Amino acid sequence: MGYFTQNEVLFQQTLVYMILAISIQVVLRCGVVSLASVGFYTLGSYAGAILSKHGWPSLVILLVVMIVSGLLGYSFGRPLARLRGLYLAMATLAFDLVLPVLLSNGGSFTGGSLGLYGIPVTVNTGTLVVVVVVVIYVISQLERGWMGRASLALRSDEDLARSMGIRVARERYLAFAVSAGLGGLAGSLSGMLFRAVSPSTTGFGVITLVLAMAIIGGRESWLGAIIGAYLVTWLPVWLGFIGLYQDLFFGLILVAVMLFFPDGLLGAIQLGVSTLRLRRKQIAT
Amino acid sequence: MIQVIADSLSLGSVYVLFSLGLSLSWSVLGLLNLAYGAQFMLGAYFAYLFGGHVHASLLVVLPVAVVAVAATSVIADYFVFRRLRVRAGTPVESELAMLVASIGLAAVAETIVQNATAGNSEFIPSSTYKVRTLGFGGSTLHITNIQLLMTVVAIALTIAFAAFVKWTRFGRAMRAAAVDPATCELLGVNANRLFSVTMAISGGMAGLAGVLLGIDLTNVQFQMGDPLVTKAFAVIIIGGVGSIAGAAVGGYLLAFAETLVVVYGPSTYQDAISFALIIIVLLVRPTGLFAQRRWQRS
Amino acid sequence: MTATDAADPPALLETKGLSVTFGGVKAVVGVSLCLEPGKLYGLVGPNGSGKTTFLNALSRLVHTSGGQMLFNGSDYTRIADTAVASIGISRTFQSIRLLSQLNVLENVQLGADSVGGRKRTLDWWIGRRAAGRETRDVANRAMEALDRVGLSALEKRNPATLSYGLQRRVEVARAIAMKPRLLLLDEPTAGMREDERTELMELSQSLVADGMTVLVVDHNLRMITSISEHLFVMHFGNLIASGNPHDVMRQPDVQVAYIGRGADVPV
Repeated sequence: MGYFTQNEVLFQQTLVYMILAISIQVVLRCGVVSLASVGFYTLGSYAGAILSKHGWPSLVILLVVMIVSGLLGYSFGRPLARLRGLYLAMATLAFDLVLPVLLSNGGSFTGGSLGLYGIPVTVNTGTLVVVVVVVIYVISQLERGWMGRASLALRSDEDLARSMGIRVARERYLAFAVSAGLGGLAGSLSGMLFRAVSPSTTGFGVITLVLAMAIIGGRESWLGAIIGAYLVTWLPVWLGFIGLYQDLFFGLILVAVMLFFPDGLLGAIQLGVSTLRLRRKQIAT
Repeated sequence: MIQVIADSLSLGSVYVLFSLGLSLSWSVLGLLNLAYGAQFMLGAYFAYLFGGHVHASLLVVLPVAVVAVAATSVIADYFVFRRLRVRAGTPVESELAMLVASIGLAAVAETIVQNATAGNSEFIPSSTYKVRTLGFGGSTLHITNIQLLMTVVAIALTIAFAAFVKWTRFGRAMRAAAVDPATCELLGVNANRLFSVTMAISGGMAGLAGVLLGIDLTNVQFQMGDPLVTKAFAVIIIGGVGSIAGAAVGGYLLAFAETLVVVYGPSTYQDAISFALIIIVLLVRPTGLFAQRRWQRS
Repeated sequence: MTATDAADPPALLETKGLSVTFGGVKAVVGVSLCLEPGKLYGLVGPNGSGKTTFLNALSRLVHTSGGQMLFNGSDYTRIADTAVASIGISRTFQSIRLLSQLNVLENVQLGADSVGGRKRTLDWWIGRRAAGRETRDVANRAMEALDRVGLSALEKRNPATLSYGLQRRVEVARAIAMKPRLLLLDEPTAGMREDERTELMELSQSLVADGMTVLVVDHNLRMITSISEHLFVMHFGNLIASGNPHDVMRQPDVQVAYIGRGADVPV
């Protein structure tokens, strides 16, 4: 137990990142290349910080921020959903990158480029774990049954999805909305946990990290995002020596994963398992 | 105002050049190269290295830097992007894979330079490359010789590039590959060689822009290229992917808007303009002003 | 069909002067035809005659540039492509489009989902019991379809491991799991062995015997003329012949269309 309390902040960070990683995975899974949830993460953290400074109860803040983020995501998603992969990626990237500029210029309300400090801690680890478990449950349900099949079709073969009657546009902006909502949720949690918020929580560095999380684990399922978030948060700790070269390390990992394990760690494991099964069957017959 | 126009001319020229390079790799190879900013930065860093430690003139440094950065493009293509292109799957999947890989490569390049410079901004004093300010019309207009060079080089190259694409066999092959890669292969165009050369040209442009702008700004910092990629993107989508004229219009327009903001408005919003433009254009008129290809909606 | 209908039942599918033009190319030119319910139709024509484009128009994958399409008497020329499944038209494609991340049964379920299986998330959570029944229905329908094509033993297999012929049959299962009134088959037997070809054609005939209407587009004239009850011939986007298969194949303009292009001509 001592280990947990010693590293509590790191565990909290991991849990928050798990939600953020899921928010990226949930859209990538549908073939929607949206990085917008990182921006909503930052917005959510500011909202969480500011609202908790005003004494709002934490659960209310969580719900409000998540719902508002989801609604905003839905309304941005509708026009953006028609954009093809790369264009959507850049549009959401632009959104993520314009935020620090706007937030830095927000005067005392947003604390300028340094952000806000001294925010009361109004969420404990227990609540955090519960929230993460709930998120995982909901998302795992969305990966089953017709929804799971539809999102797979949407990603792999859009014409097929259309001829199967899948309302492609609608599924896209729903995915976008869910992603935004989760981003905002993760953000508000971080705002209420870590005592400070700043504009630097969105930017190329964070985006690289979050993408790494979603992709390293495997973007087919939430489990991949969880694994990715855990690895990305803890590898720098275990490999303390990389220190300043952290970003380089993750950059190389991203490239390596894209080249050799496009389905991430989870995909590699699944491939290994099914190859073993096939091998066993061949031996048996 | 004249000063503003002059400044936006030189800035815009760099933007145009840089955007052309990005547009090239995008339209011909489907690669949205987010490492392009890092390549730009490498060009500038090169100028700093040679200038500070080995006294050499621009005539030598420039081509060497251009070739060096072009080489990074070719190497990255050979080892990484090429393999991601041939992977089976939807084009969106391979484009996404290349995008993510480019993000990774950008992190690699930037971290190396970050550690080499200890994260600091490095200064290229104007004496190194003999940067001088030229006055016109008394004291109403000040342009540096490097700004003149930037403008002239960029305009000349843009025109040369446009001619190249329109009239040479290679240029036509590039355009064809942008539209229909499969048919190209069938027609006997060696796709890999085509792509390598395209990448080299693209990288070279980034290096060139980096050297020139680095000297003009007199400083080099490992993250200096990051905002440029989004700006280039803004330029490209204003003008339409694959359109040279569009990139030209977009580049000068953006430079003008930014210069105005810096001179008359809150200068901290300079970078935000391009971001806002991207979002607005994509929402309102995604095809851009001069779109060359038929728009592919998702 | 109500009691006040005319003595002749309305055609299941009717096109009036249907045209599809893209970029100056007239792929389909003024095609007018009728499909009666419960029959097996063939559509043939040399390469480039516009057959696939015609199918794409019928399934709303391409925009029509002129004319009308009616299904069960109502005009569906401008409906969304995603709505085609719900009016009762389903199709297979020339290339195999199975998802390798799903097993055979799940691929077929994708088709079964399209008929009422995709309840909104909220409904699922509120009416869980009803939704549960719906999910079982979908699973059953998929199993039935798979059974119908004789592949229920392969339900757990990865489609990428199956032979081309079997993959095609899975696609047909997926299409019929959508419970269509009209099934469009686009070059279903291309690249198949002779025995696989016969199996697939017999399957089509049995589907028609059960009341479905099937339109098969194919290059293999011998096979099409032997199984279809009515044959259409297209050439350069025009419908040049329509009628009894053997009579149609003996028409001089049809012969010219084929011999002139050097295509596969029946013995």
